[in-house]
Amino acid sequence: METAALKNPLSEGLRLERTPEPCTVIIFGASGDLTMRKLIPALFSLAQQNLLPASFAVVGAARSPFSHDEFRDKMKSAIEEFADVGPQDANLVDSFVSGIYYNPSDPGKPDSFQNLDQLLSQIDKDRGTSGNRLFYLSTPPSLYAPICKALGQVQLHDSKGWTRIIIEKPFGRDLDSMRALNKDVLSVFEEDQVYRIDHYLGKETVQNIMVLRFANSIFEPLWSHHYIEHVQITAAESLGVEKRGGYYEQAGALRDMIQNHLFQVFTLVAMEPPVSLASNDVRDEKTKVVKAIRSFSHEEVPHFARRGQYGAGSINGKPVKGYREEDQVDPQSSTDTYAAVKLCVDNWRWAGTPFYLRSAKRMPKRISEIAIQFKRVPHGLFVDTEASSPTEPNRLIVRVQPDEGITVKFRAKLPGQAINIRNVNMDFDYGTSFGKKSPEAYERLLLDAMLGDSTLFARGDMVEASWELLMPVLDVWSEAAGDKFPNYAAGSWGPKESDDWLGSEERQWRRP
Amino acid sequence: MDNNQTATAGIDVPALEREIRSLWQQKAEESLEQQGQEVTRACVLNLIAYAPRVDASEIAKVISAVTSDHPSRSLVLLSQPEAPADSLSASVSSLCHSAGAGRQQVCSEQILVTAAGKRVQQLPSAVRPLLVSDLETALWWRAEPDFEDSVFQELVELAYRVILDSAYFSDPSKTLPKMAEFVQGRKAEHAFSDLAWSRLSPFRRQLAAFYDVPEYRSHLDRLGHMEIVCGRRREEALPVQALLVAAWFTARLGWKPLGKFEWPEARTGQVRLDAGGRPIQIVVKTTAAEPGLESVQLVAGGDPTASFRVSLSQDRSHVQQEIRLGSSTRAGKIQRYQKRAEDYLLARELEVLGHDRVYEQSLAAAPSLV
Repeated sequence: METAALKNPLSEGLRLERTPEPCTVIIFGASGDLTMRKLIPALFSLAQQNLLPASFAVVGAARSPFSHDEFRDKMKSAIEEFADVGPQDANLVDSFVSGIYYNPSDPGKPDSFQNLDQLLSQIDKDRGTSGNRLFYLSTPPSLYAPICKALGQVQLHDSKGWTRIIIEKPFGRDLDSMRALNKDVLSVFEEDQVYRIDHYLGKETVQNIMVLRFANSIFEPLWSHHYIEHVQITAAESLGVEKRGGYYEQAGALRDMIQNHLFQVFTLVAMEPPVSLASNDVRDEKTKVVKAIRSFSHEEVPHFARRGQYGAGSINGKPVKGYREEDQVDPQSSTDTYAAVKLCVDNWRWAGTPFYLRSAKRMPKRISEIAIQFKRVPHGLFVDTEASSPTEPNRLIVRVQPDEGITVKFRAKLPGQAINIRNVNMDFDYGTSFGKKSPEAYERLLLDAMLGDSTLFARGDMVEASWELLMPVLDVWSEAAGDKFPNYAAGSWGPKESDDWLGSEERQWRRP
Repeated sequence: MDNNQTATAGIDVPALEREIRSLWQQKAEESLEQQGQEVTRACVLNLIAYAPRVDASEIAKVISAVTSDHPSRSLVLLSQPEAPADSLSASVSSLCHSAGAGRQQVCSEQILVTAAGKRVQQLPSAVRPLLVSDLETALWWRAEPDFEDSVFQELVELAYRVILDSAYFSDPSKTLPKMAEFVQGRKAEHAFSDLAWSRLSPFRRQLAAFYDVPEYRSHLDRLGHMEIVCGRRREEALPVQALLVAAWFTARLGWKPLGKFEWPEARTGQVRLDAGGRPIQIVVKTTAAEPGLESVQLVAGGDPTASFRVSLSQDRSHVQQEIRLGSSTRAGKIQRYQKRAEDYLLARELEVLGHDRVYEQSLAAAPSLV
């Protein structure tokens, strides 16, 4: 049997789940926080789990003038400080770090990209990385287009192996900037080379939504406007803006969370079954459901969105300051730290069942969840008695973080002669049922990108469709000063206006 | 972990189930009273563990560690077939683990069934009604099986996955072919695992990783010599792990054995194979070191000659690769190595939900070598 032209016959059946082909990962913005805290620790964790390819290298690229060894020392410290992999193995750390290189890179200096090209060719020779390259843009968004252009000028977008590029969010800050950036990126790379990362999609529970829906027969028949009254998707944080006041002033909750993370989660809950798990089949369905969302005009924004900003309050018994008192924040800021939108999906499945997406800072606790609220029983056969708890609709709650799991809430009879009814929860908890730690989102997504699986990455048309939909909200909010801000206290569940808004629709926000 | 235990005489299934319910009630009350938290009862599979002639605490320790990863109803079957008196009894206990700081306790249940003398034959009928319905059942047979034995056969029938450990085989050269035949006849209904095969994983990963690099892959077609160095138990001539590695290459690369392993020297065995006209020699050198692989080296002809070696580091903490192309040497991947305990290996096997086809192919190739 000739094996040279075939795939490796010895790797079949190894319990490595999935191992990518040899490759080099090139991180732009290598001196930044994300590289130190997330990317290098995630790559090391993959190495420790033996999930990296046999021949592998990392090249850090940034403007700072490090030598290879200086950069290796820095990354070694990052691993020691931030890698959550249990006891670290010094030999393994040294072996991993020996495969890290550095190239001073400035898109304004073409020579630096020529040098990068030469370094990558040398690494291919020395380490057998086969010309496969994964670029990771972990820089300020303003550098995305110049870096892509500089890569194109030295033909690094088209090596002898495969070439892919991961782009961190935000992918634009509005529709126009997104389109401009997309045009710049796609003038160098093909769409199937571009991986727009959304780390929310790397979370185990988010991936489990598809399994819950399409690997079980009991949920899908209920999964429509016939039985679901509405859906609430919440991403609440107890933290404020910490040291990111400068960034947050330009972003706000709608841009920072809803346009990307929560829209992605929404699509997984609302999309139709894909014809296969091939990445474009899944992403086609996700895009289709975004396109089915009813658009609204500027005048209609008050019917579809609410915003807020936290003032001083207390969390966990500790007083905390208001947003306008945070570092690098304008004392008159009208940035939204609370945003909620209502999405009406005009298709056969969801007509009449709204989706509410809500994200905020300085909530009482950190929680992300999807709450599917079912319609009430059509006829109240069991009259409430004093011993019964108030009638609540059935709910299916998918907890994304923390304590990933699924809860079904239903009503049950209390033991005894009388018919007294209580609300009870049936819980599935990942930690207790599987006793296995879920991989970090960045580990999963980096591995997927190395494997060429773009299912969990956002495609350009979906990103564009989500910006298009939200533009009226952004326009109206940017024009109206936040003169009623702050309108909720830190440590509360958000502004009263938002509660009233849902109340006017005879619904209420969950207090998860 | 904590462990509450109550005993009942004989196998009275309703009484055992009552005991289990009462244990849960007791655990719930204790936990609420002492920690103010409820207990979570979790069960994702039935795990039958069969172990003859061992101490109950030894096997309970392994099962307890496994249930923290795979909460299950575990049925531990301890047998003493040679005992003069016949007996069969059972007891139940709960195994609890904390799911993390400040979180609920997660508990699962263990039923210990002890059989002696002729009543060992009744173990399968005792187990059947104790399985939780609608959950998959795995059987861990911690002994050298008698493939003709009705207890073994009946317990296999209950399980979707059968986990053996050929390290318990007194003479793998004789038992492995029998096992291959048994697996061949049953693999349509059951998936089989061998913990000895699992122990090879660090070496198999490193060996396979050489040929993930396209530049090295063509050397697979020029391999001519393979040397396996392996520690062995006193009673075995050909260590089972060496045999399994040889069988793996034979199956995966389509080699045809031209004979059986021969032993020109006491500690060195060899077998010749044919790879489509190209001769291959596999040499096994056994050492007095503890049982298990020490190194595997593959040599490919051509110009330059290439050698790919995976070996345990001197301190046995890593498995490392070394590549020689002509006169130049390249260091390869290094991977942490830990000698894994039974509970770890068992827990990993329980994560495998389907057939391990490569293992089944390799097992099927083993008889042609010995």
